[in-house]
Formats: sequence, C-alpha cells, structure tokens
Amino acid sequence: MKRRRLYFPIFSILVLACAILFFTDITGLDLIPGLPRLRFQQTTTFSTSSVTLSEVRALYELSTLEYVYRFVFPHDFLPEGQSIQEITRRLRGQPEGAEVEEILSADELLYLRTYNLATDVGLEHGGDFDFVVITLVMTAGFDVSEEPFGSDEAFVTSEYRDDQGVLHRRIEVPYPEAKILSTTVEDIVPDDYPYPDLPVGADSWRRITEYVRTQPLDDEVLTRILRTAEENGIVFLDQLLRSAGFDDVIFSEKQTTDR
Amino acid sequence: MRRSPVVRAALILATVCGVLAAGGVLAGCAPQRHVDVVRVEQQLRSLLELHTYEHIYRDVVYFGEERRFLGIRTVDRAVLFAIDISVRAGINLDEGFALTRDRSSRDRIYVRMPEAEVLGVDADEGSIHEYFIREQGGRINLMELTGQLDEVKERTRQDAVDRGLLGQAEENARAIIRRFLQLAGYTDVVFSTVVRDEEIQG
Repeated sequence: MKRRRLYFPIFSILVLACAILFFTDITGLDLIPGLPRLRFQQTTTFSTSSVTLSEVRALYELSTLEYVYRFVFPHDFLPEGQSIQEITRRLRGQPEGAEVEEILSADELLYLRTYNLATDVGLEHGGDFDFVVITLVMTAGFDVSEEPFGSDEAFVTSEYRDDQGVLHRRIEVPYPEAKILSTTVEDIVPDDYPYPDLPVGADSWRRITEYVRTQPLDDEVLTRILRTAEENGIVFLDQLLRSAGFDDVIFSEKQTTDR
Repeated sequence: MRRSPVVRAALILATVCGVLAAGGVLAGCAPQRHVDVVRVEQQLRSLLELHTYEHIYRDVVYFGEERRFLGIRTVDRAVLFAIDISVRAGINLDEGFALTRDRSSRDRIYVRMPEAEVLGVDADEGSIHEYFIREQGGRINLMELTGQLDEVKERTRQDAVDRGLLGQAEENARAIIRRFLQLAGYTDVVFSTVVRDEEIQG
C-alpha cells in the first residue's frame, strides 16, 4: 500500500522531467528537432560592420613565385628539449640587470617568447596548449619601378649582321634581382578550417599572426625562393623580348650583394 | 511478479527518456577528428602576375552574443575592432599576354593583354586594432572572428570594382608595359584586350 502511494509522485516527476527535456530549452539539448518548446532562455546575436575606403595606390610588382607554408602555433616555435621550468631556473640564477638575450641560447629564447605569448593569449592550460594552424603566403618577384627597370638606360639595344648578311637585333638587360614582395597570413575560412576552434580575441589574433609572420625564414629556403623567382623572371623577360623582335637577349652578370 | 499499469508506464517512460538522453549526451561527447598537428606543408608555385593597383579599406567590426535565462543575463560576449582589407588588381600574364611586331614599322608593336582582374582580397591581421572585448560567461572564438571577415570580403571586393579598381589597374598595367617596351626601343605601343573565356560563355 505504501509503495502504491509513491507511484504517483514518481510518475509525476518523470513526466515533468520529460516535459523539461523535450518541451523546454532549459537543458539546451535538442534531442528531437521540431518539437514545440517553451522558451526560458533568450539568445541574441548581433554583428555589424562598416567598410570605408582609406587608401588607393598604384603598384609596380611583377610576382613570379608564390611560396605557401604552414605553421602550427605554438608547437612549431617550442624547440624540443626545452622546458619553461629550466629556463626560469636559469634566469633566476642570474644577477639583476642581466639581458635575457645574453643568458639564453637561441632555442631557449624562442621557447620563452613563444611560451609567454601563448600564455598571454590564453592558449596554455597547465603545460598543454591549444593550437592554431597558420598559412603564410610569401610572394617574390620584382618591383619594376625600382632599379634596374626604373632607369631610362636599363636596356642597351644594338644591331649586327651575321656572315650571311642577315640583320640581327640584340638587347642587353640588367640582371633582375628578385626580392620578397609580400608575406601575408592567409585568411581562415571557417568552413575550410579542419582543426579545432580556439578562444582568441581580435588583439590576441593580431599578436599571434604577427609573431608567426615575423619569424625569420631559414636562409637556405629564402635563397631557393629568390633564385627560383629570378629564374622565372628571366624566362619571362627572355620570351617577352624575343617576341618583341630581339634575336639575342643578354642578361648581365648578377651582382653579388649581401641580403 | 506482476506490475501495475502505472508502474509499467513509468518504467517504459523512464527507459525511453534514458535512451534518448544517453544518445544526446553521447552525440555531444563524440571524439573530435584526430588532427596531426606536426604536419607542416610547403608549396612553391610559379606565377606571372603584374599587380598594378590596390584599394585599402578600413573595416570596423562589432559582433557578439547575449544569452538570458529567465531574464537573467548569463552570457555577454562582444568585440569591437578595426582591420584593413586590401583589394589588389592587375593582370595575369599567363592568360594570353602576347606581343606582335609591326612588319611595316620598326617603332610599332602590338600588345595583346588580358583584362585586369582582382588578384587578391586580404585582411591584414597586423592592422587589427581592438577597441574593446567583453567576455562574460564565454570567450570570443577564432572562427567567429574570421567568419565575420570572410563575410565582408566579397562586399569589399565588389565595392572596389564599383569604384573603378579594374580600370585603374589596367591603365597602370599599360603604362608599365609601354614604358618597358619604350626602353626596348618601341615608341608606338598599341594595345588590344583579350576577353576571357568565361566572359564569352557568360
């Protein structure tokens, strides 16, 4: 008899639980989409943006090479074999006023800076890190408003007759030295980004991308990029000038300069 | 043991609720796709693009979310920031660019040039200026930020085109090529424009 008296409260609680679960938005779960629901929660999202033209400018860039590379922040900038505890211990043992750059090795310095940034922007969780994959696009080529193409005497043209008396045209072109025209962070398109989202505000995102963008590129890679960009430029100029009627296109020797 | 209809109904109801709730919880806790974080890709690509004009826009973005439960605010997230978006135009020299000499005149050359096009629209992360950020009850996420920028980029691109970016880019491209050919000795440079395939089909 006593048990029977409990049936009604149990049944009522279960019905109430079902009603809350399926017919209200209190739990935030949408187990059966399409069911009518009583709304206890209210969510308002807003987004506005206004775009204004701030600058227009002429460009004179001939891009002949694009180099796309990806980094995983912060992992790619945390050299193996380093730890923040060890770095901190070393810094504590130094006299006051000593420069961090003089105390730490290049790897330790990179680790410390990356660790500090990751912590500042909230990516560090007890020694573990959230991560973001950043794609950089570097373009290399020539600024045609600069030397040698900017000069009025950039090309030297001449004519000569060969042994059969055929007239030939010849042009001497200064060696076009390629340079890095731009390094940009490829904009992330949410639908095409297959990695986990991470909590960062606008300013934190600026700091992360600037940090990654300004990391020096390996000298060997940079040399390969510039050399390939120059080769592409020479092939293009050679074809262009030959189709403009020059039989001989002579590029001057490359000047050896320190980059 | 025979149970009363009320108990049986309660048991069935509890079982159904349990199964559905467990399904919902399991779906919510499904493990995310494994991501190989050490894979770093590099790619070299040859191109021939003459970038000749750029419009830079300042975009001021304000977005956020507010949630209330029984009238009490539980989440209040918002961010206001500004960012530069650049729209670059020029010509792709791989698409039909060609020179033809005039046999009757040593000083004249014909240039067939592709139409100017938008070569890139890029949000410059380095130019971000965050005016304020409010993160009560939740944080702003990267995909929300980048999603906002992605939406505005097409609008910015269209505005640049409407303001004559392509005409300016084509004019400057002609000036660059004319000067280049003048350096090679051609004083009379005549241009014609290549109409792209998609325009013919469209």
